[in-house]
Amino acid sequence: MKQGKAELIKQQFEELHKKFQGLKLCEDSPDQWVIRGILSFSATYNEVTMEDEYSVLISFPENYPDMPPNVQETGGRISSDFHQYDDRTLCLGAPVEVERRFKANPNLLSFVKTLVVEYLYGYSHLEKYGELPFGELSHGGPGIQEYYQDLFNTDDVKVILKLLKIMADGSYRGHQPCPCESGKILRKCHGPILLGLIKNQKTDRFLIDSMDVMESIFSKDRNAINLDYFPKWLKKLNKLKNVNRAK
Amino acid sequence: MTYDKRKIEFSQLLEYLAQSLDIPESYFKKAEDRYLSVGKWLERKESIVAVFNPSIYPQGSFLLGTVIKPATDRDAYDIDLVCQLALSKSRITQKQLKDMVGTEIKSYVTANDMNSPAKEGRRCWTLEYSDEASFHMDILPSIPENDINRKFLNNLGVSSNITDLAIAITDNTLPNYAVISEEWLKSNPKGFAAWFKERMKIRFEERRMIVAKAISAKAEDVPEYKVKTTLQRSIQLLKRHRDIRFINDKDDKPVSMIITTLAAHAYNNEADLYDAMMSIVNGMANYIQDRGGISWVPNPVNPEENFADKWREHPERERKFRAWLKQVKADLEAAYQCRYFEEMLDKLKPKFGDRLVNQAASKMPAETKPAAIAAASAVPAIHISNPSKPWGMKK
Repeated sequence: MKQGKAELIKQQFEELHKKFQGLKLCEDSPDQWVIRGILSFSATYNEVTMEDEYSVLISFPENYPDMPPNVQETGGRISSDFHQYDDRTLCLGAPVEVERRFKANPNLLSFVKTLVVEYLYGYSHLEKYGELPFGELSHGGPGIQEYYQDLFNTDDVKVILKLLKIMADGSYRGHQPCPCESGKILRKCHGPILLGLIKNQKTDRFLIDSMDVMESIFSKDRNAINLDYFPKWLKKLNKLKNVNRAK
Repeated sequence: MTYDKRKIEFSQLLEYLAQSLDIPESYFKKAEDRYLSVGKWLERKESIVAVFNPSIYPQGSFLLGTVIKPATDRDAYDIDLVCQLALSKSRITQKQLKDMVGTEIKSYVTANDMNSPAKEGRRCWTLEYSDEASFHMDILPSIPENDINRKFLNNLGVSSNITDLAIAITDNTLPNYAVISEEWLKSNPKGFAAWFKERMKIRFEERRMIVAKAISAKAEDVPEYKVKTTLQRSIQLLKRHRDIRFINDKDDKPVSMIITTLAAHAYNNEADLYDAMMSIVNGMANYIQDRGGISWVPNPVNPEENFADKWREHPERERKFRAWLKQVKADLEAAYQCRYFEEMLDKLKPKFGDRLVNQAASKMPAETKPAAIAAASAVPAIHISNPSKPWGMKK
């Protein structure tokens, strides 16, 4: 199993290296593979081209490729208050989105070419023009809430939570009425979006995200939603929250 | 990326600076002769440790190829040696091992008419050579680590070809010093060296080939100490810069193991010395771990050992270390940005020492040849559509 991971990384790196020649694969300690070096790119969005390069360190989680790689910028250029985790790993997007994109194309080249380059493009753009080209999500729970608001195209947090609950419970049924009260059945309404998310994702992800969304709501208004709506589920959430905090 | 003339010149100057920091080859040979002679003494028939198959080998900067000349003429070279006996913890106490090696070291001093007696330290025996080549030689008595502790390290993710090299060492301040016990201090100088070498493998092999070609020999016949990668050169320069910056602040001087470990982590096998140094000084601090509010520089071959354990009771050391890294970066950049060569030298002199900078400058060619321009490597063109918005954890 472990051998398989190393082989996969080597194989994927070869493909990556053809495009990004400044990157090197290093075995930091036996069987601990990381990618280091200069990531040079020329990327275009809405006809604005940014050419730039960053020093990066890409490392792999224990369960790669079930989870996407982690990326750090090592040149000291990206300021510490810009979208990073505490360990300076770059927050490439809402976790569910990063995982979803990586699952769709679980290889290094696609990961670097899209998620990483988009992030770095954004930063270069910010440095040069003082603004982020594709916006940003807030930090923490509010950012997760914004992500689902964008995705489901609704500001109604109850709808978001109901949709998340369906995914977290694994209780999707196409002929159910859609929680957004459009009067349509799920399959003809928010269903396809849900199916796109559910595919290849663990249900825990949606539990964690629900927790973040709820925290975000409660931080603004303690009585925003009636907790009775989520009977047993809340217990499960609290348990998970504690496990998560313990990490 | 194009390499301009200035960069080539500057990297060349740094290379010469580092070369001037090398221990002279005659000293190196002398040090080698001396420790081999101690080894012979331990192996001789009358030696009380001869039956335990003693071996003596260098550790630390001598083994890693990062030794530098002392900052002043008054200081001696420190050479760290391991003296390893084939014994196990169930057969001998730490005190017995230390005393047994001590007996032989003392008789070596007498037999060779050395001026200073052997001194006992917490973990080592120290020999002083005060003739034309002055050395402090620390000899660390040790035995192989036991299987349980090796397994334990394996479980922490250290591979078995590294843990096979692990040793157990003595400490006369421990309560179990004079009793049979499995609880000895751990060390692994050979394992660390193996890790270090792996981090610079690409450049090491390349440099070795170049040296071999120059002297028409086979790569494997070139002694390892003759090969210096940009990582080793960078560490030498960092150590010298540190020695000068902390010349009046010896207590808070960053220790070499922290510098060496972090630099090896941050190194990306850059071919160019200035590139290597910049990537190292930029990257080093990123490898200081935060474990529940405590800063850790784990020993890569024993993740439970914190090279920075002293920072806890002396937080100013960590602060000074981080400030020093920023200073190195600023100093190098300031020198690099100088228009004129003379100006560059003036910037470097207070940082690395006048004599050293003058020595390095004298090796520079009268007029540096125009630099070949490296072909710009192809940069991929990417079209972004439907991008992801960056998000962040709560601050």
